[in-house]
Parts: sequence; C-alpha cells; structure tokens
Amino acid sequence: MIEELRKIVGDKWVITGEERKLYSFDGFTAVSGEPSVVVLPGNEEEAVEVLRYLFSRKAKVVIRGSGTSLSGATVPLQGEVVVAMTRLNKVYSVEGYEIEVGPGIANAMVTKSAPKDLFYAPDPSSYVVSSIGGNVSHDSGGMRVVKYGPTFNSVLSLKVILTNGEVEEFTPSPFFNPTSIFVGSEGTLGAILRARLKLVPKPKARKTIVGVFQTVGDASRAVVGIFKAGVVPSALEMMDKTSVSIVERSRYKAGLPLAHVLLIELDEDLEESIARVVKVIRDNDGEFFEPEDDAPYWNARKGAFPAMGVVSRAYLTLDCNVPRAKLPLILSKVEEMSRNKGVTIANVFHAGDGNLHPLIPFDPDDKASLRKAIEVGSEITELAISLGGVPSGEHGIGLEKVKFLERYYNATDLEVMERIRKAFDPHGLLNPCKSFLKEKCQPKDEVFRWLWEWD
Amino acid sequence: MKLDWVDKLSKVVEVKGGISSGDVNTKVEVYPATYEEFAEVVRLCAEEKLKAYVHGFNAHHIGKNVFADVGISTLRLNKVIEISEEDLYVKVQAGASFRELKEELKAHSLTVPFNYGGSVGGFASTNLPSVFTSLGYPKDWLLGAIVVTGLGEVVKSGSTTTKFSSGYKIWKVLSGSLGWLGAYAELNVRLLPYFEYHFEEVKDHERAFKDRALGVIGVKVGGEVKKFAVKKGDGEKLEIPEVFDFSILTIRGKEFEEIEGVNADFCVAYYGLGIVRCLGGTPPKGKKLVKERGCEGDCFNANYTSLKLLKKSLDPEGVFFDVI
Repeated sequence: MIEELRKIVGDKWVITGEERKLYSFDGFTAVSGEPSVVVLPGNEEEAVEVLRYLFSRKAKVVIRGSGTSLSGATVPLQGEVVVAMTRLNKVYSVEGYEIEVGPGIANAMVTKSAPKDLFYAPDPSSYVVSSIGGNVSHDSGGMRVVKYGPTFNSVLSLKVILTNGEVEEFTPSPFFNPTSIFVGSEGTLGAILRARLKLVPKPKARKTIVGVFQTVGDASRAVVGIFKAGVVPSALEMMDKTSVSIVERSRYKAGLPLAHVLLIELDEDLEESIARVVKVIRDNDGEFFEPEDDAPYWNARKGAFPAMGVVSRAYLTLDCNVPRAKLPLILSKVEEMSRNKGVTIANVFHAGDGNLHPLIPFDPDDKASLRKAIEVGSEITELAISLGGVPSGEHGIGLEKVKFLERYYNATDLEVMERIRKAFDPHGLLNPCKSFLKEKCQPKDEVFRWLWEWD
Repeated sequence: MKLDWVDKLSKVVEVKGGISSGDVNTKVEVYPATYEEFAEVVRLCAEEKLKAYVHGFNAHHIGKNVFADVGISTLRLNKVIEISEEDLYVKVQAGASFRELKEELKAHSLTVPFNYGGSVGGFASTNLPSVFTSLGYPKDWLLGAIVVTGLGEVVKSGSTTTKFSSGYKIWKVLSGSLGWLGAYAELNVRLLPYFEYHFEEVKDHERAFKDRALGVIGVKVGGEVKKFAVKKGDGEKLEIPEVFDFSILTIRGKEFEEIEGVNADFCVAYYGLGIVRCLGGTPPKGKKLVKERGCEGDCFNANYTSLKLLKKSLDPEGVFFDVI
C-alpha cells in the first residue's frame, strides 16, 4: 500500500517513520493515537487518487487539516491512514461575493484573498491556522456567529469524494443541495475537496464596549439584557474573573480590571446600539469603557486559551451550549463545582451564543488529575444538556463527547443518524469510533473509559 | 376482513377528499393533529406502498406535478409553542401560518426576516429567497426541528441555539428538499428584533449592497430593470409575487447580468443570493436552471448520489412523492 501511495504523491509526502507520530494528536491533547501512515496529497487530483485507492483497499482513514480540532476528531484511534489535506490550499476563484478554496487553506487566508471591502465571517479562535475543511467539518463558530451565523451560513456548496470513489460537485442551489449534510459531519460522510464560500461586505465601522461586572450573575444577566433591548452585537464575549486574572499574567495581558468582563462589538446603528448597551450594563450594576484602540482587548480574548499555560501545562476545553437565558444559572453552578471539587475553572466564552468554554486544567503526568478534569467536564456538559443546551456548539463530538449523544438524543434519533452514516460509509472507513455513533467503540484504556463510559 | 387503506387511515386520522389543483393532485387528504398521528400516517403509507405529499396551504408547489395517494396537511399542527425574547427563537409547529406567526412575533417586538404567504413548514421546505437578500436563505435561520422520516419516525434534529455541532444536520438538508426527504412537524426559527422596512429605487446596486442594505433586488417588467434597496424604516413597499415559473442560478453578485439577458414577462433578481426568478417567457439555454412549475423532466439539476443516499437513509420505502 505504501508503495502505491508513494507513486501517487511522491516519496516525500508519505510519512511512515517516527515522524508519523506528529499526526497522533490534535488540539484535544488529553489523548493520542497512532496513524499507520500519513499521506499529504499535493493537489486535488492526487487527493482523489489517494482516497480512491484507500477506499478500494477498505483502508480506514482519518481526513485531517491543520489538526486544531478541540474534540479529538482527527486523532487516529485504530491505526488509520491519516490523509492530511493541508497542501490543498489553493484559491480557485474569487467572483462577486463568492470565493472557492481548497480544504487545506487557513481560515485567515480566505479574507486575505478576498476583495478589500469583503470578508469571510466565520472566525473560530484558531482562525490563523485552522483549515477551511476542518471548519466546515466541525461547523466551526467563533465570535461573530452571534450576528453572522456559524460556518454553515457561509458555505454555499462543496465538492466531495464519497467512499465509493465518486466525486460530486454540488451546485450552490437553494434546492436539493446536499452540502448541508456534510457541514458538521466531522469527516464521516466523505472528504471535502473544495468549498465555495460566501463573502460579506465589511461594515463601515465597528465599536467595542468593555463591560465590567463584580459578579458573574450580573455579567450574564447583562448578556440576556442586550438582546432583550433589541441589539444584536457582532460579537459578545465573556471572560470571567478567573480567566482575566490568568490572561493578565500572560503575554496577552491588556490591562483589564480584575473582574468579570464582557467584550461587546457593535457594527451597525452604532449610536442607538451603544446607548442601549450602556443602559443594560448600568441596569445590571456594571461599569463600562469604550476603548479608542480595542485591539489589545480582543487579543486578550483570543489569547485566553493559550494563556492557560500560565497555570497549567494542559487543560480541557468544554464546548457545551446553553440558551442565553440559562447563563446566570449554569455559571453559578460551575462556580459552585469549582469550589466544591477544588478545581480551577476559567470561563472565557461566546456569551452572545450561550456557547460555554469552561477551561479545566490538569497535569498531563498525573492520571488522577486528568480523571478529575474529565469528571468535572462531564458534569458541566450534562448540566448544560439538562438546561436545554447541546453537548457541542462548535468543536464537534469527535472522540471527546461521544457519550453525551445518548443524553441529548433518544434511540430513534441515533438510529436515523446511524442509517445516514452507514449509507454513505457502509464499510465504516471514515473516522471510526468518533462522532455520531449508535454503538460506542470499546475503550482502549482507562482514559477512554473515563471519556466514553458513565460511572 | 381486510380494510382498504382509506379505512385504515380513517382509524388514525381525519380523512377528507383529495385535492386537484393542477400541479398537486391527491386521492385523499389527511389532517394529523399530533406528531404521533403524523408518524402513524406515514408508517401506514409505507406499509400500504402509498405515495404521500406533505403540504401546508399548498400555495408554493415547486417541481414535478404531484399525483399522490395521500396528501398530508400540516394545517392542524399550527401552534406557536414558545417565543424566546432572551434567546431570539420561536418554536412553532409546521402548519402554522407564517404571516400570522409574524404578527404574533411583532407583538413581542420580534420578527423572522422573510416574507412568505404559506405555512412555516412550507417556508422551511421551499427555502425560497426573500427581498432581505443580505440575510441569506430560510435554511440559515432554522435552528432545529422535529422531523418525520419516511419510516414514520419522529426525530429531533438541531436545537434552539445559534451554534450546534452535535449531530448530522438533517433539519438543514430537508430545507429546500420540498418534503422529498422527510417532513417538518415542528421548527425552531431564529429571530431578529422587529424592524420596519421600505424600498428605495437605486442606481448602483453594488454600492447599496456594500452599504449593507437589508437587501437589494432588481425587478424587470417589459424589458426594463429597476433596482431597489430594502432599508430599515417605514415607507413604500413593493409587492413581490411568490410563485414563479423558473429560476436562473448564478454567482452571488452577478444577478443583474442574468436578469438583463433573460426573456420573460416579469423577473426578480435577488442580489447577493445568486438567483433570478421569472414568470412567463422562455427559460434561457445554457444556464443553471430550476424549472419551478410545469416541470416534467430534471427540474433541479440535482442528480447527486449523495441525495440518493440521503433518500435511502431517511425515506427508504420512497413514501414521499418524487417532486425531484
């Protein structure tokens, strides 16, 4: 097999030695796997040839982009062949309000490749490196979903290869467009070869208001209040006091006050919207300021995840999503859990979407510490689901959240999803043991048991 | 004694005479009042090898003419279940009138930014463009749904949150699939704060769109194209028809180039949505076309294996009528 793959992509792009272990893990660092071999096709034709060959051999495959998945969606768990699409990073066309790109292109390069007065709206925190193929597969979000919608709303059509080797290019039609089922399907239905994306006119101006609150309850009530006041911000992020204190000890420090902070970005009807937001902040016992230069504050928000390195070498990033109205309740419960269990939990998240990102540190050399982090994370995710939320807003189920499917769905829901997966991938070749499963795989060790099984 | 299928249906649900509206023809019409009745009807259709066609007000049929055994009307499933002012969504049953829903939302200072003169289920299933072209298609505004599959399963898909990365987007792929893959029983639709709007004639459609109007359209009557921006604030409104004969699909931003060349009685270019819809005249050759009415052959240019796999998964018995 390896020789055949080398014939297609060249010796240099088939990785078989120790170096292949670089593809053993992704952004979900709690676990790793091991690929049998890693292939990096150099263009679309090679990718098609590689995948057709692998599918014809019934080889199990993990399709991977930049490896930033926070749910472990690209970790090879069963010695799969990893097909890394990073070299398929071309811009094929830019026309009107559409741009067509390869799956390996980094998110940030889409806007950079667009006309100056247009932009690509989805902006996951990893946007500098995360690939469009990965963004589409996870239906990634980011800060501007609150106004512009998730990746789904910006994907007009896809070109995919199915496990029968067929290549399909969908028309960006409002009718009978199968693109919808591939967005967020975590590489389980086919591989993305191209994406046609929507570009949006840039706003004439943006304004940031920083809200400062003494209690997390006041901050989260203000989030709800902003929407009730008829304002839809272009971004609305929260950093709780714990995360502010961590960021301010890191290279991302911005001089934020040690308090619970809301970063509110507005990009239309500025005068009216600012007045309404300011009133909501005041009504919820908050203070505020309007920075001339807001870049350091957004940099602090974007750097909040890596800033966790100040307190811990590793951490879990949860991604459960609750209705905004439940934010005060769930945040107070998370605070309580943190106190009772003696675990630091930093909350830095997309408050405008109710998309929580509790960061739970653990010591990678201490299994007990990882177990505790997983248990706390599990409790928070279950709580979110019980409050009308979902296990994942934007990171995907991956290998991390498979057990929560049976909490969110009933057996019939799972049966129907299973039928879809089996129809597209009858031999179970794509991303086995992950994502939308009716039956979970056997855990290979205790960490997987903690992740996949209930106590 | 073996009952015939109408008698069997009558035991489950209210049955009335069929409809014959030219493009939609059914032998009987049924009116499920619960999701379980809806599912039971579909299961019975599967058992009896009957073809079903799901509809609300039957006002926006697109695709092949329908000759189905059973018309499943959603009109008894018409409740607004929940309006969330905090989370800007409405949970509503598929048979509710879209216009009445908008009136009810207005009382809460909220709106769904689309105009549609049928049911909520039709709004979602047809995925038709509206004059608020900057705001995308209905599909982008659907947060989740309860869906009835062709096997009569009642399935949850999606949620009420703006972000959802926790399962296949079944409720999204049903949008624009005209009831062929499955049927909506209930929908969660994203909302915006209520706004008034008006139309303003403009010369430079690109400028208007880039100045972030709510939408930009072109209207062609008798060979002349007028361009309008849709802006916030009360004022003059244009009546745009909702039923057309054919559509031309194009690159977003190139709609005015298409509308100039088309020979039809009346056309609307939805700038930024990649579609021009026309009444009368002749569909142009060499274009990506959707034949919306009176279509007999390939109406949608959508002969995809992926669609067949979805049909096999969601409606393996082929209960829902082949409008495609």
